[in-house]
Amino acid sequence: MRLSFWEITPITLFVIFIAPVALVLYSLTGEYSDNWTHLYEYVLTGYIINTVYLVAGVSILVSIIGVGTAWLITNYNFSGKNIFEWALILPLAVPPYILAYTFTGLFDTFGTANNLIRDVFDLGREFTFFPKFRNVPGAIIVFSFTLYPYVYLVSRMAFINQSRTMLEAGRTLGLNKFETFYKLGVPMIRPAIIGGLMLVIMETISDFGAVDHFAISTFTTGIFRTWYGMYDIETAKQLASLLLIFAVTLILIERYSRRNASYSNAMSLYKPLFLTKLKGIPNTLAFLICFTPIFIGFLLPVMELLYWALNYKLDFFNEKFITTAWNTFYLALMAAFLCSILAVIINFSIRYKSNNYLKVMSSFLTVGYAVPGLILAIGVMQMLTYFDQSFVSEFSNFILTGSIMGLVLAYVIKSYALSSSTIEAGYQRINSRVDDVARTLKTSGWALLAQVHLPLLKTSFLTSMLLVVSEVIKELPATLILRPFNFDTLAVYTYIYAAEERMYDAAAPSIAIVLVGLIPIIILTRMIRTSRPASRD
Amino acid sequence: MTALEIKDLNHYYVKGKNVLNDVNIELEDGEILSILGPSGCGKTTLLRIIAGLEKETSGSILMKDQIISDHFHTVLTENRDVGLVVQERALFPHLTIINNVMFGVSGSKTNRHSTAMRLLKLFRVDRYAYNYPNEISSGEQQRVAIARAMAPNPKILLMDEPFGTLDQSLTNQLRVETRKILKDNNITAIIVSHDFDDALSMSDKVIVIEDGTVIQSGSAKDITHISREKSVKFSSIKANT
Repeated sequence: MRLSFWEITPITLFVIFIAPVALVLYSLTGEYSDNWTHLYEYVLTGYIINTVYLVAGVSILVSIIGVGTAWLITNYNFSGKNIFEWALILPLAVPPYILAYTFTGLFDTFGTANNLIRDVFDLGREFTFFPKFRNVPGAIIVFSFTLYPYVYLVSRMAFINQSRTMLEAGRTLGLNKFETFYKLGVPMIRPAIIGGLMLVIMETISDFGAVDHFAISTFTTGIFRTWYGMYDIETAKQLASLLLIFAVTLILIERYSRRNASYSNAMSLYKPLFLTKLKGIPNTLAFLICFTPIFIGFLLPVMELLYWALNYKLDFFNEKFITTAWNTFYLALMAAFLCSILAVIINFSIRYKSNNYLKVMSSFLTVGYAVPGLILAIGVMQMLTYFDQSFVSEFSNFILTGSIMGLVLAYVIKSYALSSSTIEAGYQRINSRVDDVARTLKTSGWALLAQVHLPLLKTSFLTSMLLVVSEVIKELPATLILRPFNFDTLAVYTYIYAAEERMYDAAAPSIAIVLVGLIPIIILTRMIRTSRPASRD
Repeated sequence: MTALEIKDLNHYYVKGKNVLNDVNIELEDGEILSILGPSGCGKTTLLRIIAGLEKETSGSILMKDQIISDHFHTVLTENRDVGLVVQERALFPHLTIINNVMFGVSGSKTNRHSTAMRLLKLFRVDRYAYNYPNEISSGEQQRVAIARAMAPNPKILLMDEPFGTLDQSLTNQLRVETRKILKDNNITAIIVSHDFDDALSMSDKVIVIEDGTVIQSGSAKDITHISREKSVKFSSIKANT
């Protein structure tokens, strides 16, 4: 059997993506140390319970915030709507661990907020208004208000593409506006919501910074403690393997839940939505619903960071800062472009070849997202070292280990799930009959992709770029391990200061991360707003 | 000359559950054939097999006496010289009407443009040439879809429930117009429908499929005469849709 480019590419990527993860999983076949027995007998149940509790809480809160705000923005006109439309994405620029640090600074017993209340009402030091934040509910709030934009973005995109006629049909069948939302609007975009939710869950279970700061025992904190506390990398990899199995199970459940569902619109029948103008109390409510997540997830931490930064010498606009910011930005753009183009090629291959094996393979390409960055970095490093020793050093002096290539590879493996789910959601909105017709018009393969699919996937492609850029800018552990010598990113600075609780020092680079993260968010959001062809009417 | 010949065609997705059984069809140049049958009888599958979008389990297909698909080889859809019109129209939403029709035409830009404009004029939608698909009505979209499929001058035009989503008066009007254009241009066409009126008013030949088997074939008049009972049955299907 002769394989075409559309089969060879997914297979090659599968091998490259899976190799580092396989190296980690391979640890399960090794020997189990006394540390593992200790973890298994005393702490593993706690890790599982806390992780599940965290995932459930974040999923519920993120769905309410993300889908609710997306529906409001797509269907209604209200005060501030034009600003909220893009501002709701701003929390993507704030990594969960930075929000965790700022919330601790704000709401701890002697944090800014409690101190302010004591000062205003002239209360004693024993009075505490805000409850303790360093616990699982606190972490749920932190993750939800930084990660909801993933669900908001995909839901908003899906709602924009929802045809007015379908929703109007619901109204004529006796549904009121709220019922139209939850009985018709939401179920019709279920694949998009689940796709966004999967990204949030993966991000939550692989985070280390926030849960570590809140002293919550989860898989990731366990992995890091085993590695850095017990100096037992094998047991850490074995723990990471369990986390991986959990992530793969989630992915399979998600695939199974929407195995027979087809949600594509007949594109030629698409009719854009009419916007309803809100007045009075509904207008105020809509304003508050959209303002609250932006306030908690972006304005509050930024204000706190600014407050800290003003107590610190603001000298970060020096040559070193510019170099670091540039390093961060071009790495992020490179990874984002690669991720997005690969996601397009893979999803196109699956559709074009209608091959179930390719589909299963594609599912496995997304597991990198659930692998903690540090573990993935170790896997990538082991793989690159093997390549260097076996092939590369034979032909040149160049070595892959410790090069930009290794770093970009880790970013691409880690962030591919973001691109894939976004492009996949985009593909679900392209009726397969469009492909049939195009093929009878002598357009197949690259021509079909370039002339028909890519223009229709423009919004999804830009969204995918946006998601990966903001992800890579925040990525820390993999950068720390794989960065070339004397090569820094903004996240490296921030993490080192924040881990030492030197928040005044961490404030300035944190603000820089947020600012750099804002640029692509603003540019790409504006492009997304104007890219829907059907919005011309 | 024989435009299309299908010999002993069988197809299944699950072994033992055939969706098409021993289908044999012969179609002369310029003839219009209707494949008639209720939903799920296998008629769309047959059309997709002719287009090359699916591969038959057994049998052979010849176009202008050339084998395009049999056990040993298959000509890809993009090389079969067939035009396809589907119920959903499937116009490319990012392209203007003129660019949609020019899409499959080869040659210089001037030639492609003039071919597309000639067809748009023929279907009386030339005034929308620079509009986008979502800016015109469903009837106009269907005219554009047929024009687009005809533009590359295919050997056979395949139409899958082409008027399925249109209202009755528009359907009647389009049937007459489309038949006239197909006949004037000597285009061989296959129309898949569950509507007896489509078959009667548009085609020279009709075959009736039920459960994947051709149960009747002949001229449109013969079919009406022979299968009065079927006519009643299909009318009731039509009334329910």
